[in-house]
Amino acid sequence: MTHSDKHTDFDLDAILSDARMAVPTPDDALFRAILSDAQSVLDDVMSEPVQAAIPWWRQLWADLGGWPTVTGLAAAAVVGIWIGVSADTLFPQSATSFDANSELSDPFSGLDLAMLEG
Amino acid sequence: MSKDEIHSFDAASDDALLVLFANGSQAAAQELTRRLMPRVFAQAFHKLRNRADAEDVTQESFMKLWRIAKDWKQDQAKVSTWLYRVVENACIDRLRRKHVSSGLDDLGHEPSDPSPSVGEKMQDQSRVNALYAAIDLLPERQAIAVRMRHLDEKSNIEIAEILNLSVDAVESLISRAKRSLTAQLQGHKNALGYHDDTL
Repeated sequence: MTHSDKHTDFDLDAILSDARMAVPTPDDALFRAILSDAQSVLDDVMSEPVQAAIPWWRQLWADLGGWPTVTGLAAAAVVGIWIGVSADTLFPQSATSFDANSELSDPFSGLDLAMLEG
Repeated sequence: MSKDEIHSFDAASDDALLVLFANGSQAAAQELTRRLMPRVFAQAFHKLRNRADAEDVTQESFMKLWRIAKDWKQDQAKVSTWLYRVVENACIDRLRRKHVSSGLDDLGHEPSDPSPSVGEKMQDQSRVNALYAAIDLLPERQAIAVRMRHLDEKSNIEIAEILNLSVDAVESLISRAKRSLTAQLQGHKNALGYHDDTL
């Protein structure tokens, strides 16, 4: 049977089959061009600077500002603790004097609160 | 590519080969191209009906594949499915740019690719051209479905995945498409070389 003989009757599947077979074979040059593109993409990727994965704690450390920030925070914390621990030694009169003078600093001393009710 | 590499690549999935390529393996690219290029080219050719255009689209589509390789996630679509969509879109873009239009009235024109059309093959070629023209007249989804099934030889399951449809819906689309194609082509049976008494 020749290629044309099979079309003596209308046969859609036969025409579809012919269309499938009518595709030319892709050129070797196309194959080479595609591989050349692949190599150029690989070359681009290889030439990009490699960024090593950074552990989360180092990222956090960097985000906080690194050594300058952390030493500053540590110094502030130490001073705060020192003030807290040695407050009685440093300011022996502060607590009593506050109590003694608290009436003087009462901001409502001249105001009758009862007048504000109702 | 060494013999060992060829054997190890035979069993590797397309996804795995793409990941290997992203890690610097040119041999993986070679194997992927060997596997996928004929299908990609055929798909583009069926859509564009022009060898040079089909080659351009094939090369462009592979370039997109190489570029996406380093970001490829193995749990996403299959490489072949992804590539099919890329080629389809590239063809549509190209056709829009070229404003290609064809119809059944053009049955007598020369085929755009001259290689298979000599002697007695002319009649077959004109039938194939008529088929292409008839496919162009189908509703878009029917055209895509029938092309994928009968020209690109995709399974109904693959077509369903690409078109985001159920397999039943794909079967129905293809069935309607084939009925329409038969009706259209039978309307031009004389131009296609069929004699009345054979129908």
